[in-house]
Amino acid sequence: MADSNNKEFVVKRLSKSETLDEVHGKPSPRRVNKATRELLAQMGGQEAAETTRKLGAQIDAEKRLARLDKRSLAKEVTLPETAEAQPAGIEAFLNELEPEFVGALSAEVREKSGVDLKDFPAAVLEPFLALIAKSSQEFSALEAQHEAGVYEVTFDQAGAAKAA
Amino acid sequence: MPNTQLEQLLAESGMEIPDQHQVRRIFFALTQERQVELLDRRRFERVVRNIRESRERVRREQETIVHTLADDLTEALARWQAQQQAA
Repeated sequence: MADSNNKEFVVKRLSKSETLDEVHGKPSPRRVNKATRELLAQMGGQEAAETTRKLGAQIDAEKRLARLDKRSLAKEVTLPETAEAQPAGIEAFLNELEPEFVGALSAEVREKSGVDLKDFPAAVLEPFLALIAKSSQEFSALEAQHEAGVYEVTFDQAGAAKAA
Repeated sequence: MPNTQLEQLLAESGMEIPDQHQVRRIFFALTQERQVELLDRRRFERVVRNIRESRERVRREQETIVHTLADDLTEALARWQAQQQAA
């Protein structure tokens, strides 16, 4: 009984709004494709709710990244003024970024220049801080988009027989 | 049984481990009927192809971001070092 109520709720909300985020009470322009909607509508109640939650979590992750991006770009990125505090400031700044991105960038910079990114003179690094922060966010957003795509393509194929 | 079949298809897929985990997670969220549909070899191969293409595209774009930034930083460092030596 609970399952059929659940299913009805999901199907009704999806057909009305066509967005997964609205099922979570969070309006968003992000739309799921037709095959995914059909598949969710055909699933059992608990399963549909769980799948919706997972897809929603992926989309939420993308939105969090977008918000983070705006926040980090909106605030001015600066390093400590004293020379002694600068290396720690650079390291703290790098620690806030996507570790995989920092790892890849550090390795390539070290290979090209022979200098560790965290040891770069602040005068060189400072004009690039906003760009580095933005690039880190773009790097993460690509990953999040890929993950959301994995869900969609898997759903599409799982529902392809019914849709055909 | 579908689980064994899934594991075999995943092992043959050549997909990256995190992508395999994701497909596995979504597989277990499907009804048994849907699981069987997804395990159809041709359909599964399409999933694998799409995911691998997406992964390669993402990797290329991520590498471009890193290459561009690393080039800019290296050039800026070289300019700064030249200025220091000249001073």
